[in-house]
Amino acid sequence: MRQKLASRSSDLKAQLIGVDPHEKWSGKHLLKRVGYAEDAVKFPLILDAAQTLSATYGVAHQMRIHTEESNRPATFIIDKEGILRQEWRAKTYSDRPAVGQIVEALKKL
Amino acid sequence: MKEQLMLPRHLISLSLAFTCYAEVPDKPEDVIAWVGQHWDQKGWQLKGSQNYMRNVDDTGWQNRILAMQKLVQLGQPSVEPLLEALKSGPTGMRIFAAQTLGYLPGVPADPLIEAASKDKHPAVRLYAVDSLGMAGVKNLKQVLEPLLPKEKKGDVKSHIAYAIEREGTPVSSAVVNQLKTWNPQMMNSAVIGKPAPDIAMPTFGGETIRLSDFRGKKAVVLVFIYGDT
Repeated sequence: MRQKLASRSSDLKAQLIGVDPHEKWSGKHLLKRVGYAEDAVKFPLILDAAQTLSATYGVAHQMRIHTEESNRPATFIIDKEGILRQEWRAKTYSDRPAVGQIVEALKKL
Repeated sequence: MKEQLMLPRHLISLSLAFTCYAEVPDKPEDVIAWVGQHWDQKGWQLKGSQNYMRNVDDTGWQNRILAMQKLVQLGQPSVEPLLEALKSGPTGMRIFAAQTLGYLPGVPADPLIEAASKDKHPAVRLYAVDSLGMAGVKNLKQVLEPLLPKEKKGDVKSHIAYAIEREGTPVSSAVVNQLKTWNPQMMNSAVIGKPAPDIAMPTFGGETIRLSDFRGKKAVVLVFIYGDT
């Protein structure tokens, strides 16, 4: 999802930003697992190791799919004026917005 | 996935966040007792088959964050009570203690090594490994590699690898300060139609980023990646 989203959002002139609640040592492995070499990342990956951004957005410590108290997967759309316009918060692990839904939401801004 | 009517839940969560923040005790032992009562280990049960995702209405996670912050703000006095919880608390508290200790100064390595190798629960072992790394313990290769053959859980093994890769680099003071200085009133404050909450954050590439960097230029798609590895 992230690779497709990364290319589509640049078409639509939206900035994709990822958030990972870890320091860089596991952040690097996350990137590898979703298909990015360390030097080929096309979007900023915020490292939220204190979980403060995650707590602010209301996703921290809500999923325990493996072992960690990890973030509920979520996607937020913020317009050019900085207003939050849409959000999707996963109710199950595979519950994610389709790339098409995100694209549609961006078009409507 | 249908868009949900978010506003009432956020108002409820915001008011609860205020209440909870006022309730966090001031002494480490009391904070630990408080979070033991207010972070619901059983809160993982959804009606139906999922038992790994808390209900969207759940707010127990907020108490966990508030307690972690308070203990890190209290600093050194939090270490002994947390080590006690790590050794002999119930599962949820051992997990909490193992995670929180990583953000505190002057944590002795031995109790963490003990937890990493002997605790029955993988989350305790995982966080104990993380906290050893965050504490900047040198020569973790010698300490942690022997655990690998016995360790059955893949994530714990991955975290052992990450801890070794740190080569003794402790958690940065920037991360600890971020936790200490975060305003709890920002808890769960993303509301549709309002300005998106904005905090200056470090990125993997090393730069600092803020949402306001894009104001007037581009919309932003902010994706909280399934937050486990």
